[in-house]
Parts: sequence; structure tokens; C-alpha cells
Amino acid sequence: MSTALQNRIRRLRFDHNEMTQQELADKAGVTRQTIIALEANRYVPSLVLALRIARAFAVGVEDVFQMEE
Amino acid sequence: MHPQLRHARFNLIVFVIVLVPTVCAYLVLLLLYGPRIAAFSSVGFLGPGLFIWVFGSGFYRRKPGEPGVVMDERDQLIRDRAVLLGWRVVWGYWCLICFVPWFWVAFAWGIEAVKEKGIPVEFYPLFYGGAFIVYYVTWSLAIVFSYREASQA
Repeated sequence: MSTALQNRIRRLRFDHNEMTQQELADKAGVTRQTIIALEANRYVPSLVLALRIARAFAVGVEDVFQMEE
Repeated sequence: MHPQLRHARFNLIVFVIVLVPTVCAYLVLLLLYGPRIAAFSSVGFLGPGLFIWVFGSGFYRRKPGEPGVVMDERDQLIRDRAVLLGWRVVWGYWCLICFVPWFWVAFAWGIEAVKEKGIPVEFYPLFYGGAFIVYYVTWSLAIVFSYREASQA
């Protein structure tokens, strides 16, 4: 069974007053490169980072990240 | 770009900036004044580069007191992968040097060539300099390669 983690970070950023990658990175406490890697699905975040990103958008974790089987 | 990769790139840039003028100066002085003057005079060209190398990490800091290298969780993951990869590169490098017979053949041939031609002591800095360049440039390239590969995963 192969699983892939998809996310809606790019969509949520634009929904939140066109938040920049740098602004999200500062809120989540990571570098902009990490946000770029996340949006491109090249990096699976830790649980802590996933929670921080969800908190930055004021939504639940599963509203940001979805696991596709 | 990963902070460590940026550091390795900085080292490579410093090496090139410092070593190219030093080698050029050595060659010009060698032609004009001979090996002894050239060996001692060209060492002065290393000064600015050594200054940049030692104090250059401060250039990365945006404000005084701010840490130069900040790594988030992904950077740390890349670093862990790159260290593992780097060890493979280093062990491969030493295995290539130590366990392949051609190295010892070339080494023995080099010693014989030096003995036969009687290279004067003034030229020795050239060999030490060459070894220095090969050593540090190889290390920097190994680090750059390791971090590039680790970042792709």
C-alpha cells in the first residue's frame, strides 16, 4: 500500500489574504525553503510542524494535510 | 539553500579568490626573481583570504548577536542524510587512495622522479600548496555534493 501526503498550503495561503511563503515560514518557525518543499510535496513535516502550520491558518490539521491511499 | 551548503560554497569562493591570485603571483615572481623570492613573497597574498576565512562567518549574520546558522527540522534531516553520505564519500576516497595499487606505483614513481631531478628546496612550497589546495577543495566539493544529494531526497 503506497500512501502520499497531500496538502492545501498554497490554497490556504491565498485564502488568508495572500499570505507569503516567508510570512507562513515565520509563523511556523521554519525556513521559506521548507514551505517550498512542503508545497511541492517533497517533504513530509513532523507532527509538531503540521500542527504549527494548521494553527497559522486557524484550521485543523486535516484541513491542511490529507493522506491519499 | 541549506546553511551548511552555503558555508561550503563560501569556502570554495574564498579558496578561488585567494588561491588564484596567489598562484599567479607565485608564477610571476618565479619568472622575475626565481624560486626563493617567489616562495616567500607569494605567501603574503594568502593574508586577506585567511582574514575572510576566519572572520567571514560574521557576514552571514543579519544583526550582531544573531546566530549565523539557523536550521529547522528539514535542514536537520538533510544534515543527517548528508553526514551519512559524506562518510561514504570520505571512506570511498581513502579506500581509493590506500587500497588501489596505482596510487602506490604513482607515489614511488614520484619519489624517484624527485630524487633523479633533484628538485631544489625552494620549490617545496609549491608541493605543499598543491596538497593544501587538493585537500581543502576536495573536502569542500565532497560537502557540496553530499548536501546537494541529501537535499534531493
